[in-house]
Amino acid sequence: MSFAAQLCVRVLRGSRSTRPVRGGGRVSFTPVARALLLGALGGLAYPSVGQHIDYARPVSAAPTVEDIGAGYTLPVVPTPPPRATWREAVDLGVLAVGLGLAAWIVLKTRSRAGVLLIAAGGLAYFGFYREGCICPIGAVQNVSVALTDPAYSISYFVIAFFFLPLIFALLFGRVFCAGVCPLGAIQELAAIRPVQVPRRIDRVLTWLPWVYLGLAIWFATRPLPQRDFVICRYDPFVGFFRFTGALWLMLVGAGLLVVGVFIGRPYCRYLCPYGAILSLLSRFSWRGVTITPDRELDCGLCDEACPYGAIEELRARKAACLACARCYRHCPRQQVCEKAGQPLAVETGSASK
Amino acid sequence: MSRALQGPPASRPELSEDSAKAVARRCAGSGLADGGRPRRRTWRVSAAAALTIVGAAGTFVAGGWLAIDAGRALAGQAADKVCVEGLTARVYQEARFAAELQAELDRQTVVALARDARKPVLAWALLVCAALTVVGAKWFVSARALRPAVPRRVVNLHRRALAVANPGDAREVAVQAGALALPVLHTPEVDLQAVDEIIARVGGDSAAAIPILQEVQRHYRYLPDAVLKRVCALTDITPGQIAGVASFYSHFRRTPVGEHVVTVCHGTACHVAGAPQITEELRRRLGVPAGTDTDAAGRFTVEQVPCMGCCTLAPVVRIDEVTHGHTRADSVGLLLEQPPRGRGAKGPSGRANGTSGGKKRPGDSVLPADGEIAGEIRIGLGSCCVANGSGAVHDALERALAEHGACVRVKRVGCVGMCHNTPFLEIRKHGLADDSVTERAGRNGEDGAVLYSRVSAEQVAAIVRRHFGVRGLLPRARRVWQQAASAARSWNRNGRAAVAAPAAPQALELRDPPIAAFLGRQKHIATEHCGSLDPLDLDEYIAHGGFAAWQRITSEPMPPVAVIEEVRQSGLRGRGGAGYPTWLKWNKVTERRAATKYVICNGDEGDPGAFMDRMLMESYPYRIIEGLMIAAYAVGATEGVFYIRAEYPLACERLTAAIRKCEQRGLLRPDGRLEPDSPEHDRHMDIRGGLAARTLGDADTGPSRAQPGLTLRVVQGAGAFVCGEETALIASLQGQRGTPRLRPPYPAEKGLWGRPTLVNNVETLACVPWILRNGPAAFAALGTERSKGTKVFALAGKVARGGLIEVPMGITIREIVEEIGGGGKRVSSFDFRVSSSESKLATSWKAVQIGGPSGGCVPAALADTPVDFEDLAQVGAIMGSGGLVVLDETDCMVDLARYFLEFTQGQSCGKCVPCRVGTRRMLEILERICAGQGRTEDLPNLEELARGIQATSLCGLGKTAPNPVLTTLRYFRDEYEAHLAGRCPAGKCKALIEYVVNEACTGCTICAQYCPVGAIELRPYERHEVDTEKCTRCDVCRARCPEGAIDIMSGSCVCPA
Repeated sequence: MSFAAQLCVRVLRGSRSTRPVRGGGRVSFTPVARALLLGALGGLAYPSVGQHIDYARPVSAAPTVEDIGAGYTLPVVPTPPPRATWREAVDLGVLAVGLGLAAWIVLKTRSRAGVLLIAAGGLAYFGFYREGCICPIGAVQNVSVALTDPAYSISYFVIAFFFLPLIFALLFGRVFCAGVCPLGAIQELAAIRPVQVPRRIDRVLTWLPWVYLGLAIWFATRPLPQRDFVICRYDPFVGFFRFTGALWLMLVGAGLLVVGVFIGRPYCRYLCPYGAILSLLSRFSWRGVTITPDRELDCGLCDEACPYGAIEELRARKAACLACARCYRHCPRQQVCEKAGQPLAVETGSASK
Repeated sequence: MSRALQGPPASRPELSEDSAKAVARRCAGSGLADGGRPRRRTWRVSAAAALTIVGAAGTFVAGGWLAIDAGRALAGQAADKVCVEGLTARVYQEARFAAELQAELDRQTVVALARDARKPVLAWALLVCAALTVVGAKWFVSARALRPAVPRRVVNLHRRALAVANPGDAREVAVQAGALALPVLHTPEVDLQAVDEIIARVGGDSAAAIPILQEVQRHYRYLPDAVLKRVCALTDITPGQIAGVASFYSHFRRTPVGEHVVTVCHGTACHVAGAPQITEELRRRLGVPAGTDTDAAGRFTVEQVPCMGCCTLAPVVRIDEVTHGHTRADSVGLLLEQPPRGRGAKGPSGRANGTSGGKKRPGDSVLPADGEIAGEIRIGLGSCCVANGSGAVHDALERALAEHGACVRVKRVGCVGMCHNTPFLEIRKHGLADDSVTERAGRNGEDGAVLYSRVSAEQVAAIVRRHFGVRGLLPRARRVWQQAASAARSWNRNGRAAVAAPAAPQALELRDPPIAAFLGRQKHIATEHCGSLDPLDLDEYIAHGGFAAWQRITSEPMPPVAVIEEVRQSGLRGRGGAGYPTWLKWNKVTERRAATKYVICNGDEGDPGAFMDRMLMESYPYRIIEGLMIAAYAVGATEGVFYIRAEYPLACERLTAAIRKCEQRGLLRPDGRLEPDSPEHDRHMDIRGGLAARTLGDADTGPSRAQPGLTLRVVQGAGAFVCGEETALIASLQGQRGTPRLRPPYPAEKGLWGRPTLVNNVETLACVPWILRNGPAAFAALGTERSKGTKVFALAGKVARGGLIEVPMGITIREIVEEIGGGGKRVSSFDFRVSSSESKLATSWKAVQIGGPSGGCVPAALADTPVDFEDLAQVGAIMGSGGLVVLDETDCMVDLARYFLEFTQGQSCGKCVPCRVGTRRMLEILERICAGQGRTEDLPNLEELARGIQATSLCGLGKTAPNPVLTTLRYFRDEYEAHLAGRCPAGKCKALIEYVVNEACTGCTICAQYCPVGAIELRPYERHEVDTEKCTRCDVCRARCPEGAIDIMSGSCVCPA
């Protein structure tokens, strides 16, 4: 969709530009595309929010207590009380603060320790306290159901959980992945000795999340009896957060963590369906990770710094960058800036000279 | 990281033992930054290890306990159930078992409750312990490797630089990489068949010695002895003459040449831009032994030439026939390895050697037969433009137009003069007035023509699309598809602009301050219509007022005396250097009574740092021909010669082609090679009278009755600077060693073959048609009291806007350098360094070298000296032929004096003692001073020698040779004294400087990656050090360093850089 939008922009602009443009140079379409995408996100949110929920159900045919008779009384269903609204608001607030904090730490203070702290915080709150639910990854399914099934009611908070990280991705790249996401955080902490995955294999595996995303949406949008939220059902790490779950799934999760000691964040890179959307949007991000704090030397010292394969030709690839802040300490400019106590301002535009 | 060191490619030589260890040590990140760190690290490592072990143990215990609990629960479940069921069954039989059942249930409940109570505790313990393990392990990993590992990419670059540091291996690498990529030139066996053909073609009289040897050299690529003997046997040339000629001219080689010839330009601009370092690096890299110019295997020959005339692209290296500008010591190796740049780079100049006929020349675009002409695209295709990529742009343009289908004429034009902006495109839509950039700039007008500077071949298609739209359904569809593809590409690449489809560059406007400043002060006479004329289009030249002067002379008809009178009134003086009044010279020849007279156009522009004659010959051949025709008419000559440097193949080609076209039009008589005393010759002399009757119109309608009386031919020089002197030039034309002789008799009295001969410079002749067309008063109105008109200068060196300029006489040096040239330029590889020291930008130039090796250095303090023959002589310089090289504080004046003296010493013909021996002694003294072994008495000795040489030398070369030394001694004596004290203030003299790394070093390792001799050890994130013993002062590290962290130290001072 966004590709088509960009294409339209290019075609529209290109056909008019037979006149020489002074001061032109290369026109960047990224801001335009970003604006269009923001609009598209809004458009996506509107139908899921503004849908009409029809409560008219064919209840007339259902048996009532009177029909059953014989002193039958309705059993008291022990429904857990719904989570209080203020608590949901707190969740959302924590998410927003976490995203902002992550963006600030990754782009401004450029501290790897800060990223690890954020990851620990994200793991504690969204992982162990909230037990892996509510999460934007699963919200993909809720939103897609809400868009297709008029009978499905969706909470505003779920919508917000779905869209907030996407908006941040358009602004700052995948800062949600940096440590706010509990699944990312647990893998980030487990990545003790990550090595490089051969680029070709990495490129092929990067398509897997799209397959997973397609499957998840397909299962989620099927009619009600067959409807299934596979992302949540087969979440490999939620068992750890809840101290319970299917044994095989927990074994898969443990396996992913063990593999993740050497191959950085396998779930995020090669499975996570939400990560696929984030990587798409982060290509258009307003600011992204730049390896150097101020200016590019092209010295090559960061060439093998990224365990996630996001450094290509000595520049950070926004789509693959998980904002882990590892590459910063490979840049000789970083220590100079730290020593000088200068603000680590990242220049946009000219930084990619 | 150890992988980084494993398995160097088999072809690569192994690292030496100690450097491999050093790299390994760095790679292991052993952190030698400060002494206290290792102990602290040991502590950290043990603490981290302990934490990891404790965490792991806790995890194991908690996890085990949980597992055991779970297992027990699972295993006991069935047994418990059986037990309870059994008891329950018994209770039904006997009530007394009720208590037992109760007890069992209680027991099971207690156990289960205890287990449930334990479970969260154990789970949390497990979590905490796992977290501890993770933290400990991460700490352990980070504590062990304090510094990040060095990527393979960096190690490989370092390794590669080290590998070629060994000359033996170097040849292997270069041959493997380079020889395959470069086309192998054929070295024929010495078969004498070709000699006969050459002599049959060129002729066998003794005057043909130089052309014969040139043909021989072109065929054999050197002069084999057997061939020379054969030449003597077949022609009138004596062995003595042939040996003399072959040894005199630097163009001729007596030893075999390598398969590939790498030519380094050692012109003034190239010298100050680092040509010596490039030569040294090339020789080292190719393994050329000292004292020779070809490596042992005969693969590569490294040559030095005085000047290629591409001064604005300095330093220039030519590999076989491809010229590369803006080279650096570290990039020449890459040039050798890269494949030739195909047709584009070779372009017109590559084909200049004799293959002009037959195939379509660039610039002669074929227009589609149908459709109206949508416009015209002009592209400058001078030699230096082509070296800077105009050839490739031209080819891309033709491709783009063919693809696009627009009916657009591609017009090859001469030099626009804005060498700093090449490749230069001008887009003119149909219907615009046909004038040039400079004429519009003079009017300060814009007419809708669009200018593009520094166009790359990739941008051409976008420019064509921008101006001529996209036509047709299929091209439109294709364009949409291409844009989609490029959008998709750029999409994947994190916005790296270079990957995206190149957009059209920004258009220039004549009102832009740099352009306006560059063009504003200029006045174009010799270079009239620059940037709008096709050099070889005779009709266009005539349409722009060409041959109008000639027509005026021949139709009135004007007597020769009247022509000379007009030249006298104009005040035109010889532009070759000395400034002798042109009319006086003409008058002398006219006054001589002789059956045969000659006119010679002196295009032997040998000074390093000057290229205006080449540009005039390449861009305006008809103008020079017209000038020479007028001169021949005025003095009564019937034969004319263009004597052109062999280093200017394109100029030779264009002039030859232009002469042919003029002959076809009946403007010139085809070259009949008349013998001076033949009766036929006298008949032709009579024709001169009939010249007046003919007009240009006749030429078009049919053969006129009156035959033209002048025949012209082009003769190539053979690389002798002294042949710019007129008597030496004449000797050279007669097939002898180019040695000057005493004057008088002047050539006007006894010149070529003892006949009266007029020798004029190219630029002088280029001014003549303008004078006779516009009247002498218009010319005399320009300039100063004694110097009239304009002067063409080649502005190069440390200026922002170099190029070819024509300015009115009397303009000050400051105006030229600061207004037209835009002030000094900081030569630096990284832009941001310039911005960090922008305060130095405007005023950084310290001197201007005017007039090449015969001229002098004018300091910035005397910048208000007007450009005028007498005023320049007063400050110690000469006008010379007009090379103007701007120098800044990084240029050592002593080294420059030594450089010029080395040149003149090498070019000294050896006839007179003061020049031959005196310059040698001066050079020895200067070399001593530059080597830091100067003595106090050296400076007075130098001055005394210089005065003696000036006073007693035979010709102009010797008389002016000491000028660079004298002017630098006069204005920059402090630099000489600093050298005597063992310090080179500019940081150029190798013996007196060393490279050191200052505290700005960030440890980015770039210098170590590129140091060609491995003098810098790879130390990531630490301050690097230069090993002064190994360092060759090639300046690569300083040019590469992005932090400005490398200083040149001389004595205890940091040199400006």
